[in-house]
Amino acid sequence: MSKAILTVDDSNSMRQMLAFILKGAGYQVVQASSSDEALSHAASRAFDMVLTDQNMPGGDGLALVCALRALPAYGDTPIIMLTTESSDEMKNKGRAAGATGWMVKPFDPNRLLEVVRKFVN
Amino acid sequence: MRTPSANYALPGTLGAIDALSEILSGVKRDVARSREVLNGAFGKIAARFAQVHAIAVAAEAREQGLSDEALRALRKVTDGLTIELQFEDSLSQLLDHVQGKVEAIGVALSETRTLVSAGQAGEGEPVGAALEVLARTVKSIQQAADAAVAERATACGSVELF
Repeated sequence: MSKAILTVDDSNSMRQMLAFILKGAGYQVVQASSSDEALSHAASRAFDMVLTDQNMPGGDGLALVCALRALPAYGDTPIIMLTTESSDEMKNKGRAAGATGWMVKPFDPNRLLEVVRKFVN
Repeated sequence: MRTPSANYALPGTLGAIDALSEILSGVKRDVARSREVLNGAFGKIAARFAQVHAIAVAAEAREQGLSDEALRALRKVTDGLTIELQFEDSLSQLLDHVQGKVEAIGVALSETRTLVSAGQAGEGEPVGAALEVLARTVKSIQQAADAAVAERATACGSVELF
């Protein structure tokens, strides 16, 4: 059974790009357009990895990381921030929140898949 | 002796504020229209991209009779497009910033208008308060603009694993 990845981004285009790449590589992809939607998906099933944007209306990515880490099933799940934010300050906040890594947009599809394979396979 | 309203109740002050508000409303409509155009264009491009991407995936699975060279060329195109199509996200964020600035200026104009109107009615001395509103708005817009610039300043695609 293919590994399942939850992608969280308020941008429809980013969700589509991620879906093309990840599905093309054989992963099962569930998309969420907000932090709340992501938490709802996360509560209903387990994912092998989460890729999340930072700046989203209604709840940012760092808060989502904290909320996911508070769920027993997501204590060790790789969570990668995928965002235009690139400052060290934000990265440190990501690390403190429990994120596994930080990837700056626009992302390179091959680099993204390398990261996904490193953690998921 | 100067009346309290003499400082600011110049002929046409309220008219000028109203005219600026009208212009701002036009900018808001332009931003909304730009967003519609962007979404429409991206939707069409994304649909084309999906077709090309599906061909590339099928070819890699050997469902299409493409040579290795053609396959590599196709993969290079789809990889490039995947990066380039992310322009929509950047542009959308820029439009969000423009919209935020326009809305902040709109609020400041509205507050200024209220203060000027009150002053013309002889209620209080609004010039200082109006300037304060404008200064606060400028500062807030500048801070937001600095943050937006910082977001786009770093080279794309860097990855850091913790």
